Amino acid sequence: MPDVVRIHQLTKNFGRVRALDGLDMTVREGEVHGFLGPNGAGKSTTLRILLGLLRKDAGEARLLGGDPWADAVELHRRLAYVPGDVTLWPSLSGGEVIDLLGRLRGGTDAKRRDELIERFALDPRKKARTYSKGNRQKVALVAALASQVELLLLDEPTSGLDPLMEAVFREVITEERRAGRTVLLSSHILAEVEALCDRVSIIRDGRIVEAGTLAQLRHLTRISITAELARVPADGLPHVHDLNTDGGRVRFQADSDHIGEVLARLTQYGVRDITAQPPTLEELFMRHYR
Amino acid sequence: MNTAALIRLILRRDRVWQPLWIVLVTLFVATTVATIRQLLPAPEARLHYVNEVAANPVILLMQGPAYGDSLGAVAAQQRGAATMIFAALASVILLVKHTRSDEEQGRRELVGSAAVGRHAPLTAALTVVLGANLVLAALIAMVGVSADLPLAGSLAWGLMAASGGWAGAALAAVAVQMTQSARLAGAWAFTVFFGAYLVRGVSDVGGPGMEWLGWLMPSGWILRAHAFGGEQWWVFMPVAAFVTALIMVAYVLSARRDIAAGLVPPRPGPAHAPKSLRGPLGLAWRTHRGMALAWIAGAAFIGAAIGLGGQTAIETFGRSGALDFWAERTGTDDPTEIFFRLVVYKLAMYSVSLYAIMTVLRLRGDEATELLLAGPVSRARWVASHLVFALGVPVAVLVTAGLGLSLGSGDVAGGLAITTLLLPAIWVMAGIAVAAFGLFRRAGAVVGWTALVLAIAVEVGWEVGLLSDAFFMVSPLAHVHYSTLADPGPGTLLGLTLVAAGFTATGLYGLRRRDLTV
Repeated sequence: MPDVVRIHQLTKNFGRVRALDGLDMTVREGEVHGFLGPNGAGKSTTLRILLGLLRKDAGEARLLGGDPWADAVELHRRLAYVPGDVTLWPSLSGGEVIDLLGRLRGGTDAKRRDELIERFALDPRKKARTYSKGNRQKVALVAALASQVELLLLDEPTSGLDPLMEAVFREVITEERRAGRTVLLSSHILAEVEALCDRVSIIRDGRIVEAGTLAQLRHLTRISITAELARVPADGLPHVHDLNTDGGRVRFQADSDHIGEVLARLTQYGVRDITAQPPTLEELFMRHYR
Repeated sequence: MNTAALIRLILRRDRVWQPLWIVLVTLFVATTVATIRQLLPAPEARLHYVNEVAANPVILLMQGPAYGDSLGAVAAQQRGAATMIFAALASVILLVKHTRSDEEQGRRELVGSAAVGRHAPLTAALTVVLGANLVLAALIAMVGVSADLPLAGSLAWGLMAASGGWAGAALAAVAVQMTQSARLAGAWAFTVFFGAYLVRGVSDVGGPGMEWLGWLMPSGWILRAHAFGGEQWWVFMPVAAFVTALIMVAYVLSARRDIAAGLVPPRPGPAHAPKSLRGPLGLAWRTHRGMALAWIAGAAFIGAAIGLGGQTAIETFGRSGALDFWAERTGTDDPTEIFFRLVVYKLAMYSVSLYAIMTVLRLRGDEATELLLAGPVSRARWVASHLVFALGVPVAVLVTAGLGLSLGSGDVAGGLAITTLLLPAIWVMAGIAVAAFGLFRRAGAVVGWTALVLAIAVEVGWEVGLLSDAFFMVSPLAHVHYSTLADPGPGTLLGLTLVAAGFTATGLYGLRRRDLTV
């Protein structure tokens, strides 16, 4: 399967600040790819380079088989973008903005447009100046989702949405994936990424520190275990971290690769009760930021 | 109360513009006094000028009557109203910026959540703007005194300018309560001020029978301060009362509305875009249409006023001998012709250049650039959609003005020639702004406006004999100038157009290579 986005050793400086520092990322066709990182890690900079709004300083970036800087106009016919901070033309109504952006890409599916407006509970008659942040985001989302494009670039699209609308957003993205569309979803909402994404790239200080499917990422990390024991292991256990003892109750993190060994050792202490949890995305994420 | 902190915030945010406009208006007064001293040194020449003014409806309409034939009185007649209007414009812009713009962009909400009173932002903005006009009044008075003009007249002139600013600020304070759009609030306030000014003009043109009309208008009271002509200080009393009353209305209205809302509820727009809104050009039309139509209407009004009423008066004035010095300086033997061209040139050149530069710089504030350029729209196409208006509307404005000029004489070709001749130079000024925007991003505005101020300064410097012909010829304005220095033949006009195209291409080239940050 061809890669929709391929980025290799991408570097971007703003004056003396290095925003991207040798970033590598691949988004495959038909997947929903989570782009995780805190504010200021370089998510929006990466997306803007992919859109040809910013010029890369070094490295390689390919988008839909083209050069995002040189072939911007041609590539933009095949993608839609929702900025993190949506600004609209204040004197245009939401409906006008949606139609304008759709017409630029060669027309929208009117039925799909109206259905999305309905589902996102957007009033298209209001002037853009009177919309709240969440409503501006909805305008950009409806415009992007109603256009028949191959790739959606979404920069923290739910940061202004309420929980109801976030649920609608998840439904719609799930449908888009089923329809075979590729989505690059930048976010810092871990539950959203966990629910929607096939693969994840975690960015920190302008480089990717972890990438793969959630299962792969989990495999690389630790499992949390809580157990009731007859005797407490006085001098600790091998391959175990953050051991916490409370009476006969122990809590710890075990290396995934050595989980069999750890369990074997544990039985020697008389296990009365045990629960094991795979790491949540939050734990995966926090590991890189502690 | 944290009004003091908000005042410091405003002063910090406007640390460049606030002093700049005050200094510019003050310099304008200083150069006017110097010019009149140079051009009309003899009392007889000034008396002659004053008599001509009284008989010239265009001058009465646009500038107002003279209240004496002293050097100061003539200077105040020529430029007193202009300083007042300029102060009003700057005050409207600043007051709107620190009230409604802050609300529109959500900054007001942040301030409102802190420990500040409900009216603190309005109080802070009014304090700064009213205070700035007081500084302006003091500076104008000092300039007058240092040019050996009487203290009383200088002070009256300063207060006239400041009164314009105060009235503008007070009108803006009310307007920003009404509408949610900062742009609309500013336009309302200034239009009301300028409209009242023109009504005052009608009263001055209409003679004693119409005098009452002038007394209905604040700008009428202000001009009747009779600077350098037996000052009538009491006229500032009704001005103060008018300003106070409007400010009270603003506070009452402000107390009755929600933050970020206006008293006039916003009308809903269409749910679907009209057919015309299908690309960058349709979008640019929506952005620029209001301003474009207003400028064309203004050009029609002023052009027709000069064409119908002014031309004969200007010709009489030209023949009177008062302009012989001017004719000599500009190298012509027909003072009538030169004065007519001068009036048209000064009105059209500066204002249409201002429009063109302002329109180019809207690129910088085009709110949703990111959304547009993430679509299949090249940067060149986006810039071109705005340039259609920045370069095209001046054509419509000048053609309209030219047709207006020909109303009296019936000389359509002549009317059109005198105005459209200016186009290539205006395009060069717009081109400089495009180049600056393309190459330097944020500095685009500073470079664009500095170019216009420099061009005007060089022109005035040449007119009063400070700068040589060769130096003046560096400016694009010199090549379409009203004096015989200019040789606006096809070669010159084509050359200027090519220079403008070169600047524009440079800007597009720079824009294609640089980061686009919103």
